[in-house]
Order: sequence, then structure tokens, then C-alpha cells
Amino acid sequence: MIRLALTLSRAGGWPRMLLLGSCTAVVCTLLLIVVTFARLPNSPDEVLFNLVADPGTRVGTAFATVLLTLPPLLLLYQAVRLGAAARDRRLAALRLAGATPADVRRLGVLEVGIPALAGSIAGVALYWLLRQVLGDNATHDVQFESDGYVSTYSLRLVPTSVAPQWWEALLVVLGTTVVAIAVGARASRGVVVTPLGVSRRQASAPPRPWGLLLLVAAVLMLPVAGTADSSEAVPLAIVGLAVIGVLSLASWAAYRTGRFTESRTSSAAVLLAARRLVADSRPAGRAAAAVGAIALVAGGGASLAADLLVTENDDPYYYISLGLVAAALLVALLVAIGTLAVHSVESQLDRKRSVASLAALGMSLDELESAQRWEARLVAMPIATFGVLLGSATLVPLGQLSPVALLVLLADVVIVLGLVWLAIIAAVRITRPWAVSAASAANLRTE
Amino acid sequence: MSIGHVLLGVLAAGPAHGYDLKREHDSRFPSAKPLAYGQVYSTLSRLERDGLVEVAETSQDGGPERTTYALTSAGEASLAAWLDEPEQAGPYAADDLVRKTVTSLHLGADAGDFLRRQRAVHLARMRELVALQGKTADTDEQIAVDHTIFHLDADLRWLDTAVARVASQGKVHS
Amino acid sequence: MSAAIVEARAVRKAFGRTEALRGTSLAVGQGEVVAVTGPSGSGKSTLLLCLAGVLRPEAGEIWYDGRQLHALSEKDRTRLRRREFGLVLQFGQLVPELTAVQNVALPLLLEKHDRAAARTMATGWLERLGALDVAHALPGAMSGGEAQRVAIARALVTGPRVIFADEPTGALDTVSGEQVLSALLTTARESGATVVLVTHDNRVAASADREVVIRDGVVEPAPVIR
Repeated sequence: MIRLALTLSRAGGWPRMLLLGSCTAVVCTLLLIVVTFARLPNSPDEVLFNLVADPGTRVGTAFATVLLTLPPLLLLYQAVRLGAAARDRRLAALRLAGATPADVRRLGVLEVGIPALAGSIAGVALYWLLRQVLGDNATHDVQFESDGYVSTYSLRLVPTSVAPQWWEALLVVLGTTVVAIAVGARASRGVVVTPLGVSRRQASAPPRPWGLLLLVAAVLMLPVAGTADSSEAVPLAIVGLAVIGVLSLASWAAYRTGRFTESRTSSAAVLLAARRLVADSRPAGRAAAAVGAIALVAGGGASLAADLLVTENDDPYYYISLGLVAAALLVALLVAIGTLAVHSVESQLDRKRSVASLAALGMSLDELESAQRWEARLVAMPIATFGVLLGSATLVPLGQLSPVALLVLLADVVIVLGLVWLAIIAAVRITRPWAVSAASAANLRTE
Repeated sequence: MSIGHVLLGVLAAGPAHGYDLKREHDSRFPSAKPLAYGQVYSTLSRLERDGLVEVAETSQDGGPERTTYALTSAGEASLAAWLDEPEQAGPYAADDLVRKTVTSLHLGADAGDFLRRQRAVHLARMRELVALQGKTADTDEQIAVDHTIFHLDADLRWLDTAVARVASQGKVHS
Repeated sequence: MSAAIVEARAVRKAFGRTEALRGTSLAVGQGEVVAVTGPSGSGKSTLLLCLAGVLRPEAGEIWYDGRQLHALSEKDRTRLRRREFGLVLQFGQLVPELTAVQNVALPLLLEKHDRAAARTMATGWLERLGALDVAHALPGAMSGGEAQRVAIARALVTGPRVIFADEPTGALDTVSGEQVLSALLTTARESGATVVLVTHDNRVAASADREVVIRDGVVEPAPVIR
């Protein structure tokens, strides 16, 4: 059974396996870092970056690190679905050869589980590497001069005075693998694999805007966060709710954008993109969900920065923290580009025949690429705009609405949306070879 | 009547007795009605009268008289002419079509050419009928024409299959 | 003899190690309706795709209206296919996410027609081919025959000069096939368009002006009937 699963994995392609492994590696590393944070005593024995050293902000940092595992998990979800059509046909052939549904399910688990486990184990190594680079031996200290003081801020992000216990590490590795398998199972549900072949997924029902409820809850909690005696958990809960709310709204927003656009466009590429969203908005929605969440956090960060500027707070501590957040967001955006690119490849591979027919009819590769870009744009731009505006709205409770602050926010909106726009172009461009292959006339062969 | 031509076709391989001719005919057309001896001899005497066959020898080994018949040059010519001319395309007893095709194949002649010619004739007839159908709005007429078209189609498909079978034996020269 | 509008000269095309076309030549005159027939695997669909400029032959030339197709840039060839050719393929040709009307309107949108005009023309063609009741259905919800009608409507909507059709009545019964073929050929003859049909149906072949038989990647010589 394991050998069969390995053969199937290999048949799915090395890139897919590598992608699965990389995602679990990153998730595992991040979780190990969180465990390390948890093991730190209230006053650590080493010099660490302030957000980590200060027990008050440590929880928030740990929470943020956990949130950072979401983009790779999203990418994992997308990666599992890569080549799903071909994989399902292979599984159908196995069923015909006598495999039971339970066998097929088991195979599915192994097909995802084996690369995931390998990746998680690699994650331990990656964590150890980060300890060296961002921890103990690092000499990354930043010095600032202000008012005659020279203050030194350590950029050591990963504590080295404590380490996860072996059983904690094992738990993280196994836990990551289990989560990966669960994500994989979710990704392949909805397909009935019978010996007669893969029965077409029924046109999925349009998504519902449940995410709005979460967002409403988050907004309602904002005033509570402002009060002095609220616990630290409240802002975290608000951020958490908001992020999850935006993520779950993505599919619904994609569907509605599709429906709105399809009857108002005269462009073939846009029509194609809009209809693809209406037909099945969930995949593209998830791919762009990460973008929305990133925009949200960017908006929140910008309003904090604006607040800082206005109150003329020049404590470098805050700026470095915001800088780190920006860096983390950029990395997350890269992962989001990856997710978009993978979704682009997956949709091309699944539609080879119809893409080839379009090319044969006279739709140029450029137009086909344009359709891919529009699909990503239609789903990502609205959610990104909404996210960044919502995040920026946190400036309101902070009370500083001066022109400078608004200028900073405006700049932030432009930058975020601009980056998303560019990210889409980049992601679609990267996957051009697959587009060319899908449009090849060889896919039309019937004899 | 083309039974005569079938017999000429058999004789082209070499002289034979009436009995052999009957056996060869039945073996070539296993799904047709077996040839009666009476019919064989009456056909042979007609062919002889027309100068297409001649008596090669008469043997009498103490048994019943056995006459061996052989093809004359006139008979050869008649056979060639018959094979050269495609059968009229029609759903009426296609036995003649089958006889001609099988005879042609057995002679190892350029069967490919024969089959192509026959297909062209059938297709041309079908073309006429399809055009005829297109011109009329009368459903009954269309139905009547449909019958002929379908049978022509059957013949055409049979010809295609014959070509394919022969091709797979390497007998067709293209 | 009318000048050939579409012509293949000694075309060779292989897929990997299988040679689909081994030196095929065919000339189609303007306004002609030609049926290309032959056993399965003989190369007829491949020849059709080569003539339509979709496949590129390894050797030989494809001529359209006095121009060599593969001397044109990919962009020009795509534009040519969009404007002057109509293509009806054997399967999987409709975009599954678009409704029938949207599928038929697509070539018009590619040619930068206005949305409303495109929709009107598309609906008109669906009506002519008897597929109006599936106008707002997705291809997944249509029968094979309905999908074929929509595909033919899509091929005809831009008023092409040459129509290339691969088994256009393949999924249809006799009467429906007759109606669809009739709509296709009537439109073609009215507009003077040329039609190249690949078919294994003798009746369809009989509806054409002449037949070209392909066997083992080569065109069979026309029989001589005395």
C-alpha cells in the first residue's frame, strides 16, 4: 500500500510533492518557534527582540506567528488539488481494478501524508537553522541614537536559551502532518470516485457570506478593546475574527463579483474570468483569501504607523516592530503569489481540452493569459481593497484623523493594492509555460 | 444472370467438373443458397452454347460420365468485362454485388480499384437520393427514399469492411 | 477549375513516432463542400486541423487564399482563424463555464463586437440550429446533440469563409443530423463559404459535392469509372 502511494505521489509530479513538503516544513518551523516562546520564562536569560522578550507582547507575537501558518496551509490546500483531475482518473482506474473506497481513501491519506511528514521533519531542521541565524550566534543588533542616548535593539527573534522538548517537537511534527492530511482530505472531497470514472462534481452551490458575521463581531468588539481594563486577549480576538472573517468572505465575494461582471462586459477575457468565478468561486476565492488577509493586516499596521507619526512617537521599538510586520507581510505576500500561481496552473491543467479549443478558435495566448489575470484580479482586488480599508479603519478608535495620518493611510492603500496588482501579473506570468502546454493543439487529438 | 459469371470466375482458376463448380460456389458464398446441380448443368450448357466455355475432356473410368469444362478466350473476355463494369447501385438483391466482389477478390485482381469504383458509384447514387429527399417536403416520399438510402449505406459499409479486411491481408495495391 | 482556396501540399505530420499524415495533398475550391472520409486512425482529423492552421505540419505546405499559412505569424494566424475560419471539433469544445449563448457569442466578443449585439446574433444562430431552449444552459447540462448544435452555431456566427467540421453530426440521430447538416450546408452555400467535413457517415459524405478518401495518412487516388 505504501509503495503504491509512493508511486501515485511520484505520478502526481515532483513539484507537487516538493510543494507539499515545503508547506509543512514552514508550518512546523513556525509552530516550533511558538513552542519556544511558550517555554520562555517571564524574564528570559538572553537578550531578545523586545516583542519576544516582553511577556506582555509575547502572547501577541506568538499569535501572529500562528497566523503566519495560514498562508502556507492555504498553499498546501492548493497544492493538494494540483492535478486533481488526472489523479482522480488514476484512482478511478484503481477502483476498476478492485480497490475499495476505503482503500482509495487510505491511499489519499498516504499520498498527502508521506510528503507532509517528510516536510515536517525537514521543518525541525529548518527551525534549528533559524535558531542559528536569528538567535544565539546572530550579531544583529540595531543601534539608534536619540536624545543623546544610544539604544541597542536586538533583532534576535528566536530564543536559544530554551528549546522545545523532544516530545513537544514530536507533537508538532505529527500535529502538522495530521493537519496537512485533514487539509488534503478537505481539498479532495466532493469527488465521487467510482470504478466507472469520476462523476462530475455537481455545480457547487454559491457560497454564503457567513464571514460577514465574524466581521460584524470583530467590529462590535472594537470599543471594548479601547477600554483600559480589557484583557490582552481582546485585540487579538478582534484581529483573529477579522482575519478569519475576511478569509471566509473571499469565496462569496468572488462569486458576487463574477455575477456582477458577467453581464456587464464586452471583453471575452473578462467574461471567461467572471464565468469561471461564478461556476466555482471557492478555489480562486481561497487563493486570494490570503491576499485579503494580508491587506487587512497591512491596513491595520498602516493605521498604527500613522498614529505613531501623528503622536510624534519616535521610539524606534515601534518602528522596528512595524518593520518586522511589513517584512512578514511581504513574505506572506510571496506565499500568496505562490498560491495564486498554483491555482492558475491547476485551472489550466483541468481545462486542457477547452483551453485548446479556445486557442483553436482564435483566442490568442495573450488573451488567455489575460483571462487568468482577470480571474485573479476580480477575486483579489475587491477583497484586498476591503481588507486594507477595514484595517485602516482601526485608526478611528485610535482617534488621530489628521491629514498626515490620512496621507499615510492613502499611501498604504495605494502600495498594498499596487503590490497585489503586480503580484497577480507575476503569478500568471510565472505559469505561462503551463498555459502554453494547455493551449497546445495536441490536446485536441481524438483519433 | 450472374451465376454464369461466377462459374466463369471459378473456371478461370483452371478446368473443373460440374460437381467441383458447385462445391466451389457453395464454399465461396457460404451464406447463400447452395447451388442445385440442375442449375449448374443448365448454366454450363448455356455458357457452352454462347461459346464462353468448352468441354475440355470427357473421362470415363468405368464410372458415370464426367465432363471437364474449361474457359474459352471469349469466356475470359466476358468475365473481364463483367468485372470491369460496376454493379448498378440499388437495394434490390445485392447478391450480384456480392458475387462480383467475391469473384474479383478470388481472382487476385486489383480488388482495391474495383472496390473504390464501386464505392464511387454507390455514393453517387446516394448523392442523388439525398438531393431528391432535400427537394421534397412530403414525409412519405422522404420515408420511402430513406429505405433506399439506408440499404445503400449498408452496402457501402460492407464495401468499406471488405476493403479493410483485404487491406489487412496485404492484398490491396494502392 | 476554380482556384483552390484551401490546399494541402505533401503534408507530413507525426505525433511522436506515429505518422498521422504521410505526404497528403488536397485542394478544395472556393464554395465547394468536400467530405473527407476514411477508416479511424487514417489521419482525417489531423488533416483537418492542419488545414485550419491549428496544427503545424512537419513537412509540406498549407495554403489559404494564396498565402502560406505557416509563413504567417502566430498572431496573424490566430486572427485568421478567428475571422475567416469556423471550426467544429469532435468533442470537448464548448467552454464548460459559459452558457450556450455565451459560448456562441465568444468569437464575436473576441472580434470586439459589442456585448448586446453579440448576444442578439448568438441567440439568432441558436434559433436557426434548433438549440434555443438550451440557450442559458451550461454544456454539462446538455445532451451530446444539443452541444453539437451549439458548437456549430458558434462556428457559423462570425460568417466564416471556410468551415472545418469534424464529425458534425456524430452524436445525432438521423433526423436531427439531417436538420443540423442542412442548416450548416444551407448557410454555407448561401454565403458562398467553403466546407471541409470529416466524417465516417456515408449519408453526410453523400451530402457533400465530392469525397476524398484518406487511408493510412495518404489520399486514395480517385477511381476511374469507364
